[in-house]
Amino acid sequence: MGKNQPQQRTEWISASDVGRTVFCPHSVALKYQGTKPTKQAVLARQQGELKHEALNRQARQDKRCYVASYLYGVDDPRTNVLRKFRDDAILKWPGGALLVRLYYRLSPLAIHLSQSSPRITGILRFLVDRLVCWCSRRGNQS
Amino acid sequence: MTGFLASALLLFAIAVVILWHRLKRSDALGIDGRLIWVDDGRRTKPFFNARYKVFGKPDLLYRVNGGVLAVEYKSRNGPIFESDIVQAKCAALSARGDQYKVSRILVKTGQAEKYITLPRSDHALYREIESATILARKAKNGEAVPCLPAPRKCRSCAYRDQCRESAGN
Repeated sequence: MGKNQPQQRTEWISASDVGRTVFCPHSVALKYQGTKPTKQAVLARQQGELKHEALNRQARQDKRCYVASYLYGVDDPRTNVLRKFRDDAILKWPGGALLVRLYYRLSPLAIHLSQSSPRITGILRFLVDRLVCWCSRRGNQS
Repeated sequence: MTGFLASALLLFAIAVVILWHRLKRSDALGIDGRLIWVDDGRRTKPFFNARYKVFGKPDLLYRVNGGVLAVEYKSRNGPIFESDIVQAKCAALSARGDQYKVSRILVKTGQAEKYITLPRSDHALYREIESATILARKAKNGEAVPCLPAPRKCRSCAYRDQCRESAGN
């Protein structure tokens, strides 16, 4: 809202303004009077936005599906089928979250073993292919 | 032989406890829940609570045991202030006005974090932030509001250059 614009009288208020009021109500008044923030504040805000993006990336890092990512690739449709199965089915089972965490602990070991032996890779691929087929059929049925 | 077995059992028990605790720690942020909503900046619309006329966005929402956890992240390194908590509560109230029944909030800075369980009813939650909300509306509508100058606060205020009341002036 610029200095020369008529002040819009509205009941709606943002959470950040409510929080800032606890910090200092006068700073909220200055904001709505159109006062320009300091350069340091603008810079700090930009840095804050970057850190928020980093947080979002960190939070979204649940693209884990180690064995499938290793066998097919991170964004392969088969990997996504297994991720969907994890999110829509396993995590809803009682104890499913623990099972998924256990899988995350053990799958790096499976990948390590697979890297050292093509035979183990073959067995893994056979098993995971079957699982993908089963998940796809299950997904189609539901 | 018995001593060896006892030691082995003890070591095994310790290993199980350590593994259990490591498994209990959940996602990349250490939050035990499933991420269900992310604030992607300006592209993401805020939540509106029409009853209390507040709007806002938490940074993240997680589905946790017993409800929804809203995360309010402050990028600075430092303690959690009352203003952070009030903002997080207001954002939670906004989210409740949409579809997310937020039951807990997590306020997190670079150095500290605090979990707060929210009252079940929206009205009880609103009562906790009511005075700040009324004051914020007054400030927005150009009515007289108090000034709370303090050297540390004023140093970090975005409008200190134009503030006649600033503790630094």
